[in-house]
Amino acid sequence: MIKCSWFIEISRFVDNELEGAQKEALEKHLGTCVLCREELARLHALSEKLKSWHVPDLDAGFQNAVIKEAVRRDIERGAVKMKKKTLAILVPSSVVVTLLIVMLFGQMYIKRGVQGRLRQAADDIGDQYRFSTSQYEPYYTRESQSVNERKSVLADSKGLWEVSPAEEYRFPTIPSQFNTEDYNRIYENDFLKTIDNPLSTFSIDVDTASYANLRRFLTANSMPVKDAVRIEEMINYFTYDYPQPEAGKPFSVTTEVAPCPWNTAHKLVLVGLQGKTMVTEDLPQSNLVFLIDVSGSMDEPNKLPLLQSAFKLLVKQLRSEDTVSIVVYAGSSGVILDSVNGACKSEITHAIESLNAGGSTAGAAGITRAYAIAKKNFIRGGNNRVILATDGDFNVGVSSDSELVRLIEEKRNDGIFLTVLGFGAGNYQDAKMEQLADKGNGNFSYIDNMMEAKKVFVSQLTGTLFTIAKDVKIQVEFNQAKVKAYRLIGYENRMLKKEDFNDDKKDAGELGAGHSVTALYEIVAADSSEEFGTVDPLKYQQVVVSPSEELLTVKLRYKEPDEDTSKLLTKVLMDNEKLYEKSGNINFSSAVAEFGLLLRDSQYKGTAAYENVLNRARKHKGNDSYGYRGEFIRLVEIAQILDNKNK
Amino acid sequence: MEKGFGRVSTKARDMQHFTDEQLILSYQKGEPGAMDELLRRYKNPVYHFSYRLCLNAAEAQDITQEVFLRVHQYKDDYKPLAKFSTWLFCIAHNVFISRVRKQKWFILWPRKHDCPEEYVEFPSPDPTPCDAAQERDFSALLQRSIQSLPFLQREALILREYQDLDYQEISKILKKSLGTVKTLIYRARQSLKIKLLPYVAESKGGSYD
Repeated sequence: MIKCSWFIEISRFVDNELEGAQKEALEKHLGTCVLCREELARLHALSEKLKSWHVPDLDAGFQNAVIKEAVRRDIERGAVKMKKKTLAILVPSSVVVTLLIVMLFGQMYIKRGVQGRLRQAADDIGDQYRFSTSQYEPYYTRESQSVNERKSVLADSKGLWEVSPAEEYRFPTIPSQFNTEDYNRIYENDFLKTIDNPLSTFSIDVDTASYANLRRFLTANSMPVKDAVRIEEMINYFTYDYPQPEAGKPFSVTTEVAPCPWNTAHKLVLVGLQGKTMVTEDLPQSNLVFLIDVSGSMDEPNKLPLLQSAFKLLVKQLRSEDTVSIVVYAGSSGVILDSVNGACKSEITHAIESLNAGGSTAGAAGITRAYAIAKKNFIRGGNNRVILATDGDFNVGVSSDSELVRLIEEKRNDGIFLTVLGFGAGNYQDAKMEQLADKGNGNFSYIDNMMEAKKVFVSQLTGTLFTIAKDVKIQVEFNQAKVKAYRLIGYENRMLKKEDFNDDKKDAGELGAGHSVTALYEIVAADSSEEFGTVDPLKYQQVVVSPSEELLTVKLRYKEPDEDTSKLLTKVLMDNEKLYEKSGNINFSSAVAEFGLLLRDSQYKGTAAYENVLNRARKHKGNDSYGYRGEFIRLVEIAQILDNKNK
Repeated sequence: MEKGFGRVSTKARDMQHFTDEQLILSYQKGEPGAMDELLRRYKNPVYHFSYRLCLNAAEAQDITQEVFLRVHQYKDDYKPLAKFSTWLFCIAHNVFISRVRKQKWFILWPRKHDCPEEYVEFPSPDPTPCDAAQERDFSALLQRSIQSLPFLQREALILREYQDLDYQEISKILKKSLGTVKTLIYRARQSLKIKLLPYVAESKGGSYD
């Protein structure tokens, strides 16, 4: 909102505090300035609105109570001397009251005495020796005690035991009590025989939430929940050295092959997509709706306050072409800002700062309203996006996963994209939020600290905010003459049927500007003696393999952000692993995948070991200008210490 | 005439026509009905003022009682140089500040449990908010917005908008210059305007559905 220097005078004018020349000058100015006339109307409206806040009056008894208290204090101060008449009433009555109190307490004492003695006698029957219960309460039942307290308890009890050093240096862990975090079970992809399944089809996944979430676990010195580990999201957290796409294409495709680090008999194939990078200035006009969860569950330091700081980072990036609306929801939903120009940073920041948490969570109502606002302010050819920030713990209105998904699927057809930002721990609803982002043409990040907020909102802002290709599907055809079996690492909840690839109605993942997507296949060479599956050979059908030196063909389908028909890209990979040793792509991504296998304690982890992960990650750290790979190495080190299964 | 409180004096009816200043002066002289009449006139304004500051009924009631007890105790300090209401709200301001200091303090930043639910909690679930829900939504939003103002801005605004005092009086109550009061109220309005924009701006009424 643009301000006029007369605004402060208008505030005085409303209060009738202007006189004479000042008043005339303002009235004259009002005749010419539209801004000031609007401001005047707004201030009048504000005063009107303020009047709607009614406070109930005091109870009728209040006045008497105050007067009595005043008299009492006067007497205390000795300001009023009591008359003999008053004393004559007061003294006997106070004596009576005292007597009554003494009698009452006396009776209670006698009762308790008799009952107490009886009870004790009953308890003592059969007791040879009596111990106080606290003396024999095992120290480990007192959960809240710190190690030091335990030590003193132990030391007191005859000083025979000492706390072992191991116990003393135990890591503090995320308390498991009251933990209602929700993750979907992941069933890992199995090895598939090329002869039965020559095609492997899946949707891309640019989410990175899983990595940030497991970082939260590890930095709190606790191993992540197995199902919180989605290996593809870990791999895709990092950027790789892929070439920029040719002109006219939204992304480039890279393929590499190398020996599999955790199973020397196998090979690893990398398929990498690199979205076209864009600078913030080149982004189309944005119509952003911040949908912010201000329910009671967000009232924690790592939720709402972190969220506020994170959004302020985003606000700093906005341009005057962009508009911002803010919708909040708790027990119901409300609009705080409606389509404010991105240049009005102080107003937006102010609105963000003013948010407080409290109440239940009607997530669905908030979503409906945010989409309504986004639709109202829709910019054709622009970037229309709802940014949902929540812990995902919806408990009012539509809250079952399937219904929410249906709701969001209805909305995505309007050309509005979705970004889901997850916050907090304890009741973090990972599964729900991932599904929302997946079904709502969106991406999903978990914000565990300001560094992650900076990654999402500053260094990778264009990727977060702008989709360059939608419904991106990958289909890999393996050459049976070269590949006996293969296994896709990760992407378990992104698998598609082979028919879905050419079906433009089937939804798939979105690629943001500058995003990269990496998929790894573990493949078994055709001449291997390993056996997979036990399907009998077919009797009538015969598979004719056309001779070829190619290992596989990657096919990609994608749609331009505002189109409904897909385009096709293909790329062939020859069986050539000469260059792999120098490649930071396959070596680092395989290190991340290996780490994921270890965290999941996967049945396919083979000889995977933290040592190998660390060696490879350190060697291929590259220039790592943002420090993400360095952080990865630190996390692996923490996991290595914490993990006692994979030692 | 008997000295004491709470007894309706023969003069009580006349006192209804007294100005505030006449009342406090006769109170100084020991007219028993004057306290009654002042309480009758000002207990609710003082209570509303403290309630809007602290959003806590019990606390506001305590403050109001304390204010009138101080009026009673220090009634002789009142000089007819300022309006009675100015003096009264000045006491209210002082009582409030001293309680803030003493309790360090939840009233300035109320936790949700400290406030009556209907004022702070969001209204009950309503996927397609009807007008009533929006109205309640708004009053919660309004209170939250006022609550989030810096303390002096909040107090100045409440004195101006709800107590209907002029800048001169507010400046005496808060012990700030006129210019400061002007700025405080201006800033408070600017912040509120932004927070309540959808409700304040014309042609952008409340309906979005």
